[in-house]
Parts: sequence; structure tokens; C-alpha cells
Amino acid sequence: MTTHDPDRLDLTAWQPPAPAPLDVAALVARAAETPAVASALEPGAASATARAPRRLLALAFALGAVAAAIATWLIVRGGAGSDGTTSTPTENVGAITPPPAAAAGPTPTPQNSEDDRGTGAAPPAPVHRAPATASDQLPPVSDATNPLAAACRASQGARATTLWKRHPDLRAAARTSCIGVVDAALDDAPSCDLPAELHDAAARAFDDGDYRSATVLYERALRCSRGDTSVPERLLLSACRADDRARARRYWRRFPKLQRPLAQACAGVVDAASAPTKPDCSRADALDRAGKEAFASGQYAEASSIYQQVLLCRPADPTIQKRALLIACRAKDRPTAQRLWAKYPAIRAQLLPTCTGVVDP
Amino acid sequence: MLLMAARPAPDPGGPPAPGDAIGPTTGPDREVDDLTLRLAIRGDAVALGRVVAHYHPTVHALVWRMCAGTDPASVDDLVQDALLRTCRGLARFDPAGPARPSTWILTITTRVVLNHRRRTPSLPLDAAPEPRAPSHHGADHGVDRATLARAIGAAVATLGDDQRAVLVLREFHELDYAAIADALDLDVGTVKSRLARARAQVRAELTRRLPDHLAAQFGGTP
Repeated sequence: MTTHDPDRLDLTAWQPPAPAPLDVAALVARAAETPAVASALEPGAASATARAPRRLLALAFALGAVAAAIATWLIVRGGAGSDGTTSTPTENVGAITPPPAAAAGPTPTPQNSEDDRGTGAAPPAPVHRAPATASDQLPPVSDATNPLAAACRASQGARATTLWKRHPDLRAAARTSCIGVVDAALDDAPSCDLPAELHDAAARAFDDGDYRSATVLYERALRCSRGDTSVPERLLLSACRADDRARARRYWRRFPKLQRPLAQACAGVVDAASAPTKPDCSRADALDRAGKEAFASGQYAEASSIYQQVLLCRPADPTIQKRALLIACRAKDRPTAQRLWAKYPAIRAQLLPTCTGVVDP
Repeated sequence: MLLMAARPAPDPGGPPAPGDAIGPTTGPDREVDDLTLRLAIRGDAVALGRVVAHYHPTVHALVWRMCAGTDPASVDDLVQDALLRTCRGLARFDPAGPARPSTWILTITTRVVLNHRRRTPSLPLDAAPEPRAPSHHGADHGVDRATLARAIGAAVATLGDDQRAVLVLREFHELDYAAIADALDLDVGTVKSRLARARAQVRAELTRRLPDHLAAQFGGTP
């Protein structure tokens, strides 16, 4: 699988945020609704060029099946009689109905099924499944080796808290996943021995829009990593976005250098921030670049915050207006997106697809 | 007996696996166990759910990296689509075949993403070149890591979809050239050349974007 590769780049610093919780049961149920049909997206499926002749073949089969079905229906209808009585098809078509396989079209193989779907032919019989039992009801997401970690990753707070209490032996392996889910995970962690994990957990909460948890986690991270200049900014921003007025006021006073850059984000939460404070507009270009870079690297919340600053410097620039709204919508920063949506009607049409579901048009 | 018992062991001299703070990528110890896999192939709903839950982080990581910077709003939909196709197609997966389950699922995921990207072009902010970041010596590890992550994301975002797919599958999910070639319907030579070009571009972008002390590890100014 892996071979030594001297040209390999060390890109491991670029890690995705935790995935959104997935309703596994619903997904499996949805998959079961549609019988198994091989897809051209599966490995081993033929290329589009190679599929072309089979597509014609599948079309011919489908047309044949439709013709057979029409013929059957006509014959059945004729047999049902001129006397006006009706019969179910099965009463009359014993010798005429095409075999099920023909009626359903060709049995798809991994190579032809994509084409079958394109021509409307029926899919094959469902994959055989074991008789449904009570155990078919999917349990909560579990992990054979560490159910506590699984519960924490799935953000199942109550279950995780219970498991945390009952299974001290599972805590060490699950602690990183449980920070932000189980309150005791943070308290239980030896002071400041996990700065990187704490920072990661806070960043995940922030990126997920869980600003309340992010505030608590960044507050703890602040005590542990005093040299990290990004923590105070994230902490104050989280507190403001979580509408945690007490913490927002406290850190607003404590970090005066952040007052200017975060004035927009904290307006309405910290009274002093509500007075519009224009950023240093000689740095507007640099801010613009920083915002684009944050956007390109997937840090949408941060990019949104930066573009609020740029917007204060260039309020009439339609490009900046568009970027600010686009990023706010992608960051799912509803208050900002809604405010910009109302303020700049001229750019709404361009961003309607992006902002649908975030703003109320 | 576990499925991975039949698989070739990884090269011990190979590079370390990427950091997997967020879910697994691939590798023998990251595959779902054989019993669960076989039950899922037979259509057992519980086992299928476990397979989905097991590979969800891997699929999400791939989709997120393929869409970062260009189409983040589609990540969740694409993850769901890929997992749905995995569920529907798992009955045809051959556990005795040459492909690992993770490779098979990553192939489906890659094709789902690339098909989506071809249908719906992304809406990037724009592609203006960025100036090199100022050097700041003495910064602590947390800041360096965040700066590095941001620069890598921006650098990867400059790649076209085809190059990005090759790079992500190789660097983050550790697929070998043959598996990547199969996933992207290419020959191995094309995979190698695309990978070399992608690496060169990412290296150049990182050297340009990062301060000196971070750029050095990518061949930048020491």
C-alpha cells in the first residue's frame, strides 16, 4: 500500500474539522430503499467510452421490455373480456407474461447498470437480506474498542457522560475526543498537559459554530498556552458570537489590542464595541489578502471576521460586499449574513444559491 | 480472522502515516473488521451502519480536502452521497480481491466529488497571487501550526481538480499509484506526472506563502 516516497511532502498540519454528525440509521435505511445497483462510480466500472455500446444494448433491452409489457397488457385486457368483467393480470397471463427477468430488463452487472438507470429499465432484485430482527434496529454509533470515544465523536453528550463515569479505563484514550462533550473531560485533564489537543478541540468547536463550547475551551487554552497569540482573539470572538456577555466584556477589557479588529464582531455584545470603530484602513489590502487566504484554507469563520473589517474600510466596494456576504453564508454566520443580505440588495441575486438556508430571503 | 490478515503488510521503511487527529485515513489497522464487512456485504443493516460509521471520517476528510477553498458548502452533501453509493454498492465488493475496503470507498468518493465538480463549477473568491508572509522568528508551535495549515490549504486550493485528487489520495490517504490510477481512470505514468506537478506547485506556493523558518522544510529559503 505505502511505499517509501522521498518526494513526499509533509502536509499533515492541514487537518479537516470533525465531520458533522451523520444519521447512520437513516442513511442505511435510505440505501435499502433503493436496491443495489452497480454504479459507474464504483471501482472496476468501465469508462464512458467503453460503456457506449452497452448503453445501446441496454436501451434495446428496455424498449423490448416495455413492448412486451404493452403487449401483455393488451392481451390481458382483451381476455378480460367484452362482458365487462375484470380480472387481475395474474389470472390471465400465465402463459403470456414475460418472465420476470425480461420484464424487469436485463440483469445489471457492474458494467451495465449505470446505463440501465439512464434508460429507465428496472433495477435488479434487491440484495438478499437476513430476516429483520430486533437487532436490525441500529444502536447508537458505537466503537468496538472504545464506545466512549465513539459517543464523544458523535457528540452524544448524555451517553458519553454516562460512559465516562462508568468506565474510567476508557478515559485516557477518549479524552481528546471528549473535551467539549463531557465536562469532566476537561476537568479531568491534568492541567496544561494537552495544549495541542485542547487547541484542536477548541478549533473544532469554533469551526463547527459551537461558540459556547469554543469559548470554554479557548478560555482553558489561554491559561495553558500564554504565548499563542491566536487564542485570545479566538476566545473573544467565540464569546462575542456565543453572546456570552460576561466573558466578552472581561476579555474585551483584558485585550485592548483586539478591540479594533473585533469591534464589528462584538458589536451588540460588548457595549464599548457597539460604537463603530474603523480598522486601520491603510492595512485594508493586507486584510483583504488575509481574508482570501483564510477562506482558501477553509477557515471560514475567521475569513468572515476579517472581511467585516475590510468592509468597514471599503463599504461601497461591491466586490468586498460580495465577498463578505459569500463568506458569511459559507461560514453559516447567520447574524452577519442576514445583516449583509438586508444591507446589500444588489448582490443578492448572485449569492442566492450560496445563501439559501442561511438567510431568510 | 481479520480481513487485513490477508493483506500485504505496509512497508516499515515507508513514511509515517499522516496525523490522524480527525479520524482514520487508510491502512491495515484502520479497516473495518472482516466479520463486520462480510455481514455488511450480505446486507446486514447493523453491520452496514458500522461500516458507514467507521469510514465516515475518512470519506469526510477526502471530500473536505477536495472542496476546501472552492466549494465548502457541498461537503456534507457529497459525503452523504458517497456513503450512500457505498452502501448500495457494497454487495459487489469482493473482500478477497486486491482492493482494501478503504481504497474502494475512497475511489467511489473521489469519483463522486470529481463528477460534482464537473457539473457545478466552484465559486472561488478569486485567484490573485498572495505576497509572501513576513518572517516572524520566535513564534510558538501553535501559531506555526496554524500558519502552516492555512498555507497548505491555500496552496492545495490553487491546484486543479485532477491534480488535487492525485495529491490528496497520495499524501493524505496513502493510496499507491496503481490504486490512484484505478480511481481516476488514468494510467500509472499519468498519475506520477500529475503528482510530481502537483507537489512542485504546492512546494512553490508554500515557499512563497510561508515565513522563512517554516518554508525551509519545503525547500524554501532556510
